[in-house]
This record gives sequence, C-alpha cells and structure tokens, in this order.
Amino acid sequence: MAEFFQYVIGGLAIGSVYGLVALGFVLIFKSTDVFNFAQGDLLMVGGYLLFTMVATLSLPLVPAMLAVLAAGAVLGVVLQAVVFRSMIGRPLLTVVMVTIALSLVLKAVMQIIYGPQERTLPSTLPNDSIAFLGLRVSSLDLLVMAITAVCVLAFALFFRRSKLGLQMRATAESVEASVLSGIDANKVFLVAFGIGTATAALGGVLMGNLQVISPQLSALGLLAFPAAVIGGLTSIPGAVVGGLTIGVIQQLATGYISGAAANVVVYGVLMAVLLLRPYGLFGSPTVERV
Amino acid sequence: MARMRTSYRQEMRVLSSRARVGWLLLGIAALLYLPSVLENQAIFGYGLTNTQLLGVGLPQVNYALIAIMAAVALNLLVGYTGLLSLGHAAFFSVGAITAAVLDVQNDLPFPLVILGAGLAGAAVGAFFGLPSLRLRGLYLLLSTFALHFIALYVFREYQNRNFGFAGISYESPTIFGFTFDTETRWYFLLLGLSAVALLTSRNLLKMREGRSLVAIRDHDVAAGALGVPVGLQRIKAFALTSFMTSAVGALYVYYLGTTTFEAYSLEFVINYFAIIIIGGMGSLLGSVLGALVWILLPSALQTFATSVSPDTALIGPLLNDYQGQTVSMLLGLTVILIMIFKPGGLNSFWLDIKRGVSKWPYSS
Repeated sequence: MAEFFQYVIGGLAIGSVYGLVALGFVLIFKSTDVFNFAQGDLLMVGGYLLFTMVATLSLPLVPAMLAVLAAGAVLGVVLQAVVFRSMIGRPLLTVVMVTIALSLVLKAVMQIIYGPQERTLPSTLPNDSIAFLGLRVSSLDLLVMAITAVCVLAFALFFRRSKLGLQMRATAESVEASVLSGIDANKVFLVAFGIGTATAALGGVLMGNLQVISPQLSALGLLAFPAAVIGGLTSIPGAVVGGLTIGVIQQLATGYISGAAANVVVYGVLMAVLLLRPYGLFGSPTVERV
Repeated sequence: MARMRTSYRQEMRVLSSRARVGWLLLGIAALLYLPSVLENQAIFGYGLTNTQLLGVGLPQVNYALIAIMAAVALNLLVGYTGLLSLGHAAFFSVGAITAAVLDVQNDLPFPLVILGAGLAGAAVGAFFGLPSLRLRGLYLLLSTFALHFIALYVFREYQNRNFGFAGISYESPTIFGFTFDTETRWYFLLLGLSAVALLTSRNLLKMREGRSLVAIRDHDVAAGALGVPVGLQRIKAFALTSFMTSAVGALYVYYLGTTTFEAYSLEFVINYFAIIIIGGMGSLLGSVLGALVWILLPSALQTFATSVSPDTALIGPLLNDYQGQTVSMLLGLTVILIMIFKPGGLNSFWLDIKRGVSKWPYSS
C-alpha cells in the first residue's frame, strides 16, 4: 500500500507539471483557436534555456528560472506576431500543420545548439527526503506542486479580477462581439500566446529540476494534450485536474506494469474519454453534428 | 488549355488528348533510361559529376518512390477526405510486423506477404477509424495519438520477444525465382507499383466513391443530405489508405532489409505531413513533388557539404555535423512559409505556371 501512495505522490508532482503545460495550451486554444502542437517543444526549449542560464551564464537558480519565464513570454509574443497572426480565420488543418512544422523547427534548432546528449543542471531546487506518515516524500516534488498551485491561483485571480483577464474571457467567448465592444483582440492574442508559452517554459524549468534535459522532454510535453482533453479542452481548472490525473495514471502504470506500457495506458484513457465523454470532465457538452 | 468536358466518359479517360500521349511516352522513356543515367553518371555519353546530379543515386530514387506511394495514401486520407490522422507510422509498423510474421517466421511468398500486410492494415485502419463516426477534427487527431502509441508498444514487445533489441532482418524478396537484390531491380518494381498506386488513386477520385470523399471533406452535412453515407465512407477511407500504407510499410522494410520499432516515431509521421503540405494537400501531383523534394533536399545538402569545409562559420557545422537537423529545420520553415503565403503548395505553383503558359500573353 505504501508503494501505491508513493507512486501517487510522484504522479501528482509530475502531473502538476503536465497540468501547468496543459493550462497554457488550453489558454492559447481557448482565446486564439490555435491548437498548439508545439507546446511540448516549447517546454523543451524552456528546459534548455534554463540550462544555458545556470550552467553557461552561471546565474543563481531562482533568478534564472524567472528569466526563462520572461524569455518564454517573449518567444510566445514573437511567434504570435510573426507566424500565427496570419493564421487567424484559416482552417483547422492549416493551423495544426503550422504548429507541427514549428515543432519540427524547434526540435532541430535545439539539437543543433545543444547537441544530442543529455544535460543535467549543476544544481537543482532543494531535494531532500521528508518522512511523512510513513512515506518518503521528496521536498522537490512538494515544491513543484506548490509552484503549480501558486500559478493556478494567480491565473484564477487574473481571469476573475483583472481587466485584461476579463477581456480575454470575452474574446474567448466571441471575437467579433468583443471587438465590437472595443477590445483590442490583437493584444489579447499576444497576451494569450505570451502566457501560454511562459507556462510551457515554466513546465520545462520544473522538468529540468525533476530529471535530465534532453530532446525527449518534448514527448513528455505532449502529455499535455491528454491532460487538456480529460479536462475538457476549454476548461482551465479542468486542464490542471487532467494533468494530475495523467501524472498519477502514468506513474502507477510505470510502477505496476512497465515504462513502455505507461504511454499505452495514458493514451488508452484518452481514447476512452474521447469516445464516452468528448467534452471531458469539466467541459460543457456542445451539440456538434458528426 | 483546359477543355470543357461534355460527357462522363471524357472525364474518365486516362489520356485526355493526343498531346498527353506524347508527353506520357516521353515520360516513360525518361523513367526507363533513368537507372542507366544514375549508374553510369552520364547522359547520352556525356558525363555528369556527382555535384551535377545533386548526389542523387538510385537508392535515393527508390526511397522517393516508396515515399510517393505512402504520401499518396496520406494525402487521400488527410488532403482529400479531411480526416486528420497521426496513424501513418502506426500503419507502417503494421506492415513491418505482418511482413515479419508471414515471411521471416512463416516463409510465405512475397506477393502474399504484401497482400497480407495490406489486409492487416485495412483491418486495423477500419477499427481505428471507428472514432471518426463520433469525433471530428482535433478530437479525431487526438484519438489517433492512441493508435500511434499502441502500435509502437505492440511492435516493441513483438520485436523484443522474437528478435531481440537489434531489430528484425528481412531477406530480399523473390517472385517466381526472380530475386530483387539490386537497386535497379528494386527501381523497376517500385516504379511499377507507384504507377499502379497513382493511377488507382486518380481513377478512384473520378468515381462516385472518390468524389464522395471530397464532398465529405468540404461539407459533411451537405454530403449526407445528398445521399452519401458519411460514416461508412469515412471508415472506407481509413481502410483503403491504411491498406496502402501498410503494404508500402512492408515493401519499405524489405527494401531496407532490416528495421526496428524505434524508426516509427512521431517525427516519422510529421515528415510525411511535411511532404504532403509542401507538395500540396488534396493533390496527387503534389504528393509526388513533395516526396521528391523531401528526398532531394538531404542529398543535395550532403553534396553541398562536401564542398564546404567543416570549419566555415555557421554553415560548416550545420552541413557536416547536424545534417539531419538542418534538413528538418529547412523542411519545417518551408512548411510554415508555404502555409502563410501559398497554402496550395508546390502543386499550386505548377498550376500557376500551366495557366500562365496556356493563356500567354493574356494572363497576368
């Protein structure tokens, strides 16, 4: 039984990273209709940027993490302005293809810059073992969960209380109506991409602390999709709950079956949710003709 | 000059005009002469250097022919029927597994193996096409993720249990005592099969069945109202294209001689998407052009790399140490540029040229 809870706690830690990345993904999807296939690669970029700042520029860890967040936001804004602005109103397929191509480019560029070998951060956030109700809990896992919780809280406040947050919710509801009421939709799109990419970069930063930095991180980042779908694709709290669910399922499957089978179980759950409840756990059922 | 068609029969004709017959004969002659040009590196006795050939040899051409067939299948599914699927690598691996089971383990003859691979692919495709009855667009794309990872897992387990980590080896196939063990022999086999695949697809798209696929892509509700059984046609599209893909997948592993599950990654799928986008979605000619670009780009880069010293700033290491990455970066950038400026891909460039020439000097 202790083993079971051990897996669950590890799953919650890694799942909170998935949830964070899924959150950024849902934010972009909701407000700009761009299904960002490159979200996992942006996570990888975040991890590598952190490595550069800590290992090459030898910045202390915490300022470096904040710098990566800022760099991620800038990258998102640039991507929106240069690539995705011309994709507004284009068919779904076109937009998906562009993000797939973007993922190809990001992966290639990162490998050219950093080479194929794995990188490890010279120092990570504090990683001590804490005994808790007979379980060994890593302080790093707890810290990762806490950071995610703070981010989710900040998002919730931002969307409920701030003017920009209100404008973003309005644009997600209907772009035309919000433009008619004087909202600058372009600004909203830029902000959405900025925040979405920054959360992906933050996911990469946390992953960099939890494990090695390698091109494989982008495959882990892909798990943000099942997380977002389980949560309902357009629900922000849903994304986080979905991420936690995926993390726990993945760790349990890895622990009890095998690492290779974990993917099959996770994507099998995704398939089941899609067939039985396509609008996810938190989405609202919309009438869609098929 | 595009002529008005006045009957269905004209529409169905393989060769619509006399001029076409001429072009076709010329094309066939060129394709038959190609192996000799590449092997001897000379055209009508006039020698060509490796650089002039862009480093292309018969292996690249054979690889391109395989890519053409697989790209046609993907284009039928994604470009013509509008069903987004990431299952391409999964169907390739179905072909590879079937070939291993039927030939390596049970010694069945080559044509039966290819047919069996196709049928296995069609069955898997029809099954994983079932979500398309309920899901559309993005949701369908996500459900094919599941297909991809399940196929990869099955392949991995099968390979590790029966063949070990190094991979599966396939012997050169034999038809009636004739063994395909040289590049030239493979060239003629693949050329023939590509011609069959292209002609079949072209004919299909002019028939009721094929046109109903395009109707579903353009407006499924309207297509349904016109009497097209939308769900059934979607499943058929999945079955047909996965038949083609898995059969090509089996050919591919025979041609390579060896394979391992690691080859069938998501990047593999993404490369095929890049091919059909660069060539042109919903265009058979586009699939051919895209596959050619995809094959020619790496070999052209490689040839170029030999004339650039590895110490040259910036492009030296790009061309010498990170060739694969440079290729995928260029492909990705091309796709983005094409999507922004010319969504029809290379095919629409070709159509522009054709229209420009036929209307000259009146066209803009």
